[in-house]
Amino acid sequence: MPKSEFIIGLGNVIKRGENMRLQEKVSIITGGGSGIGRATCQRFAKEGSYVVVAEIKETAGQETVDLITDSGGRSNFLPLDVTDINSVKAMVDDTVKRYGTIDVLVNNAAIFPMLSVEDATEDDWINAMRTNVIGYANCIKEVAPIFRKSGGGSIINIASVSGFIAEPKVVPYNASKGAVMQLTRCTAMDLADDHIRVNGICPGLIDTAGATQIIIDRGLDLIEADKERAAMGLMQRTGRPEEIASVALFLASEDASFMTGTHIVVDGGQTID
Amino acid sequence: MRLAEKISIVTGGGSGIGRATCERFAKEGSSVVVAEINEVAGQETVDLITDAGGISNFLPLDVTDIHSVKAMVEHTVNRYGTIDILVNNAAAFPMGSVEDATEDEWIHVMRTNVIGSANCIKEVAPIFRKSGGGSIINIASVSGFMAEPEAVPYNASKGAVMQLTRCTAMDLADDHIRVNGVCPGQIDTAGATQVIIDRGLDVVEADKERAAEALMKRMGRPEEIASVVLFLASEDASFMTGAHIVVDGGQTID
Repeated sequence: MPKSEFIIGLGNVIKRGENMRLQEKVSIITGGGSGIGRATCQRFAKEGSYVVVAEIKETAGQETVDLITDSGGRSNFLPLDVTDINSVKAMVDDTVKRYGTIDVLVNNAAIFPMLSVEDATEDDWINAMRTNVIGYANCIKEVAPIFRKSGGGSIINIASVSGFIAEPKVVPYNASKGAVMQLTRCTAMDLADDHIRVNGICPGLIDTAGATQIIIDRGLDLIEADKERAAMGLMQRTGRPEEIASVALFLASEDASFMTGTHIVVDGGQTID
Repeated sequence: MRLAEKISIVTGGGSGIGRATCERFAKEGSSVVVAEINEVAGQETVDLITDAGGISNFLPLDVTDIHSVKAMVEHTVNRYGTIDILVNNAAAFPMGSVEDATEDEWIHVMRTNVIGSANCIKEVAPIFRKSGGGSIINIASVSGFMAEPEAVPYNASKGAVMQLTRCTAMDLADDHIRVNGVCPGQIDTAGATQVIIDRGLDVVEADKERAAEALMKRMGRPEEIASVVLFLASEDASFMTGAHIVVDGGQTID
């Protein structure tokens, strides 16, 4: 009996290694405490990566870490305010000290200001741009030298279909996501010689706690709003965070080795008409 | 294995991107129908797969002949019971300016690249519908959205393929059939080399120029498209339909 258990155990170990798509990689996911960020952390850990959950909310970030370690993955929390370059530097330094290098960066931390051009104050605009655009740029800036030294790396920016379509009364958010798409293309160009791939994902309507909070904040009926959101895609449903995490995994992996500067639209067909 | 127990048809599976896709799909557990007009090339792909322990068979296919498409689909269903994935890859590569191209050349490229893919979708859709869904991947090209010199019939056909993807994604969404496309840039295939030779160009010089077009300063390998097709075919792309993935080493971002 112990012998057969040993054999089964050994078999599992070998099989596990073969199937893992980010084996021994070191990944940083910003905003890893909830929604798409958390799902990406969990999927990356399942695929063999060490996952740094970089998050401004410690409780949420630590919760993601616990979910991963409870299921046998390897992860740790680091506090991160992407708008503070010193915080970004400290997070990157701590990661390198702990794991020796970094292979993958997922820029996901974002805010969702929902305002018309007349409602938005200058501070609203500055907050949106500092977090969603300059925050991504800060993380790329600090990670790039590590990638360069190790011979390359993969950066995935979570953009949005809101980066290329118009939607009512969301102009600062949509403008920030349009800027993210250009950040992706321009950094892909500037970092290509260093074998750093930079790609983006444009999720459509995804069923996350963050999205639900926006609906509540706007004083809308949750059930009605979810029905409307589901009806927007050809698939007649909202996406699950795991369905974005799987795309981030693809872009992070060797399967996307000839891709840089590209965006993958993951919206259940919402934006093709 | 990411396509365990799936049944896939890959058209034009005898060479280049098609062959690499067949081999990758088989490695991921799919039974692969190599549907190809060139029997020797198609059988060679099958042999490569079966020699490596995969499951595959050859079926002759002329995508421009709806009877040939019907027969291929029927044989596949008779053999495997159902179909899960269709990769529309078979294509013609005519090069020429609008003044050089004859009407016959135009008709040939549209029949092969556009109507050929439509024929395959038409015959596979009822099978997908019956089994509760499926995934279709059309191999388009960056040539579908950018201008290139003296390539107008080909580029127009690839633009049409991208619209075929979007419109069939819309029409088949209710049946849980996902339709997506891949837009490869400069890929190092025998077919691409043949086009260079046919144009009377120096292969070494042309390959250097092709490599220089991408930010990555190299051409892509067929396996680097096959891996993207695999992603789109798999459950990892479950919330994607009507989308195109550009795989060009950064060629078209500027």
